[in-house]
Amino acid sequence: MNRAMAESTGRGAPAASPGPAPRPLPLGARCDAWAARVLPWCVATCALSLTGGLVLALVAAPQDFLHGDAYRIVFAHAPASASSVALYVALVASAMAVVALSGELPAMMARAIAPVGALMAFLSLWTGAMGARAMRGLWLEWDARNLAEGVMLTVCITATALYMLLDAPRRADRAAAWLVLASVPVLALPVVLDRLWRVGPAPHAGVAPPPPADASVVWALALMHLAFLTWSLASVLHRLRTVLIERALGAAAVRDAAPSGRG
Amino acid sequence: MSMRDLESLVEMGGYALYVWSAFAMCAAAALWDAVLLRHRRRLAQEDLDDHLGRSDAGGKEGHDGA
Repeated sequence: MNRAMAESTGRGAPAASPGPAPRPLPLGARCDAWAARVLPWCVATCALSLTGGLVLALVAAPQDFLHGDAYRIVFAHAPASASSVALYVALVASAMAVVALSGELPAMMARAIAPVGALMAFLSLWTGAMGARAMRGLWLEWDARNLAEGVMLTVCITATALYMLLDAPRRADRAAAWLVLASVPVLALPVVLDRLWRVGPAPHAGVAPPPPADASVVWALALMHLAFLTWSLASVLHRLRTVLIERALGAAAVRDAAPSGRG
Repeated sequence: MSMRDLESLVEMGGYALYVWSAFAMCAAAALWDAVLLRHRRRLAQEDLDDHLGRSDAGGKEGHDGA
């Protein structure tokens, strides 16, 4: 794979060519090698933490004093929400790099992050709907958090659609980057308005505070967060490797289509 | 820390539909993500290998013909 990528991008030194000094591998091949090294660790960490987290969350953690067993949905909802926010932040950073630096790697990172961000935002909304239905009797409360998740889901799906539908990769990268950057104030608006509306006494003022959380609850939440974050990272890295191959294929096709100067 | 029996684990205190559907959707998403990604990567790798193979063969034929 590295050889194919180095050959197709045309920037690396072919292994067989005799030369005075070996040139370093191109960025794509280096990135692919790094992702291949990190991926197994991500998968192993995800599997271990998911196993421990699920056992603690579903079996060991005691019932909630108010919501009974329904609160266990939180062990899926909170990690999905945290992962979607982390991925959205990474997507915004990649989009800024695409716009400011016009680099190849940030564009490929954005391509890899957007579908995983959409998946995590969808899971956050789905588990949020299940939790709201079980604990409060309504499917979704369109509060600031759910609105922000909805915006993140829309942005990630639209960016992915742009990558798939636009033929020119550079144009698609820039269009998606501008879309992501334009979504930041839209996403911030409900959060800021929510903060403004909540000025005043805290929601639990005057109510007896809940008992402190059991250690198993805290550990279950921590392990599930770790599992979802490593799952997201593994998925992004796997996608990045695929995007690298697709870019290499596109570069090879363009190079072959161009008239050869050697004839 | 308290352990629970299988029946209460399945019933989830009457919230089984919501709790298990939340976790089942996460499992389905993980499975779908892994299968789709593996399939896409295999297709891309096969395309690239085919392309490079064709390019190499074309280059050799060209040199042989010349």
